[in-house]
Amino acid sequence: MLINAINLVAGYGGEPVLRGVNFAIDSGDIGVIVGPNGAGKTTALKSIFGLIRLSKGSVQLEGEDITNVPPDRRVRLGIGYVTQERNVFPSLTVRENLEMGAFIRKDKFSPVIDNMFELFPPLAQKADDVAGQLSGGQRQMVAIARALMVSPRLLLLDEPTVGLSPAFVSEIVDRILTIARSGVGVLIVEQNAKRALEIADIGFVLASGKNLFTDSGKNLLNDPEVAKSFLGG
Amino acid sequence: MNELIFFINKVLISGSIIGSIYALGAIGVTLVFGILRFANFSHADLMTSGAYLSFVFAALLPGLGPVIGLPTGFVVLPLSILFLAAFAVTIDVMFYRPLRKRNVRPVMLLVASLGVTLMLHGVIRLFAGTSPRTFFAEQNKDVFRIDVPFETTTRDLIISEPQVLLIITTIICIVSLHQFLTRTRLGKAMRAMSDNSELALVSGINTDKVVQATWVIAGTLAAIAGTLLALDVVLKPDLSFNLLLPIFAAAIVGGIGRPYGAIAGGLLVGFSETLAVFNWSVLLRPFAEYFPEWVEIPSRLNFVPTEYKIIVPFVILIAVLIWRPTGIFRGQVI
Ligand SMILES: Nc1ncnc2c1ncn2[C@@H]1O[C@H](COP(=O)(O)OP(=O)(O)OP(=O)(O)O)[C@@H](O)[C@H]1O
Ligand SMILES: [Mg+2]
Repeated sequence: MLINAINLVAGYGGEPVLRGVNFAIDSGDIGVIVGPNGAGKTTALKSIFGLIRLSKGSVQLEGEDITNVPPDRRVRLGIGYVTQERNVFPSLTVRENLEMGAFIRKDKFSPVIDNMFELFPPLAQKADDVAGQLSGGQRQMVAIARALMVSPRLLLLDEPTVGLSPAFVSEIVDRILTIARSGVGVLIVEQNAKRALEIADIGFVLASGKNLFTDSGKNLLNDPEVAKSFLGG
Repeated sequence: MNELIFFINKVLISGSIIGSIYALGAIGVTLVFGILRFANFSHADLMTSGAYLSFVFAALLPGLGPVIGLPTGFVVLPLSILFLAAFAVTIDVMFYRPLRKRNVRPVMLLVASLGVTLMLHGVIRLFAGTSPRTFFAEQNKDVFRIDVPFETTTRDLIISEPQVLLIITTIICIVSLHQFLTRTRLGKAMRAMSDNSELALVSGINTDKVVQATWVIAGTLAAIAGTLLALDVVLKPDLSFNLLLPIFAAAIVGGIGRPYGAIAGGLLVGFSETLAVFNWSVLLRPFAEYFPEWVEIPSRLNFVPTEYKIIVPFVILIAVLIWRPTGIFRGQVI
């Protein structure tokens, strides 16, 4: 297993938001977390990245326990995280945003930036524009590219297609497939459950801080019970 | 022509000088706000501390200035910068960092900075007393009188050596800061963290190091501003405390968190002050013959009496907070 999150219990001080959830995906796999608003999806990604303390449970990266490793060290260990909101530096240029993603790299990373421009061609023309002026879709590309700058083993994406036009959604989904094919494990939180489960190797249906269903994307899509409660019939 | 030269001396030169001080102070305040999200009220006293440090070094190394041909207080500036930068980092480690670790609200840090300012105030008075001191006890303060080559002029443009040094140093500081923020990894990380500190952490940016760099820059600019101000006027314990309001006005006018805005804000507040206290009747008098007879030009005609010039930044501050709380350069709203 690339990432193995076991029995996570976490929250923001009051009642725990996550009440014992499990996630596990392999390298090159796409895992998708779906569930209603407030189910704890974002909280789950934050816990895996170490932004909030677990009151119970553990997180393992390729068998190594990282439960108590602070977030900046997890970046070094190869976890990239794209947050749900405010996920670019608006007053920095696109190129500077990518450089910030590579802050921990000691090597020359300009080839990596070139790779990102290949992966997201629209960004190449906007390289010297400030990120705050980009369209939502382009901004999402900057955010994903920024997280990829450390060449992570695991990429966490929180609602990468929310609010985007259909053309951009397809483009982002396409890129996610490319990224996973290169061997990176991708764990995505998605509102658009149907579409996300279509590309999922494994899907996690979350509700009220618990795993309701865990199965391959295909099986979940075909499961009448899942369809009834989460996919709108 | 004499009147014009009087105007240049009183408004343009004075405005650039006080504007430079405000700009240097406001950059320090705005950078700390951008990174740590609190209004650092101790910045003015950090400037005063820098001036006293320079005074001590100048007293220890009195021969240095005459050898180089510049005021000793200016020559020892690198030493004061070194000490004050280290001091600013130490204050952060001792007072602000423990509070940040507890995730207190920014207003608590603001209150802590008030505490720090009172402490600095006390320490300076304790060791240096309250009487004013001069950097020019053993050295002459050079004053340049520039003759203007017009037949009708008898007045000269007047600017002192410390004032020239202040303007040059301010320009160097601004250019270097610009290079630092746009060219270096740490400088870009500083802008990134000021944009979004959570994302900076998520990106793997070493935020502790950015905070440290911020205090080093704040300390450096404070040492420069404080020392050059003291060289221009005199050294006293409340040297820059009185400048707190105009400095904050400058930072807020420029858009808090925006270093370039702070520069613009500093100059704007500085020039507004000199324009407001300028005696405009001096400029009107030569045109007296063109006025109708019943108009009498008063001997003093200024917007604000000199003693009350502190209301100028105050009015600017309130106007900005009412009509454009994000400032000219759209900074953070406080
Ligand atoms: N910073 C916070 N402090 C306190 N409570 C929070 C915080 N963030 C989230 N919560 C609460 O935790 C619960 C789960 O939130 P979370 O953001 O994980 O949900 P989500 O599944 O990502 O929802 P959405 O689909 O709206 O993004 C919600 O009830 C929310 O109110
Ligand atoms: Mg969420």
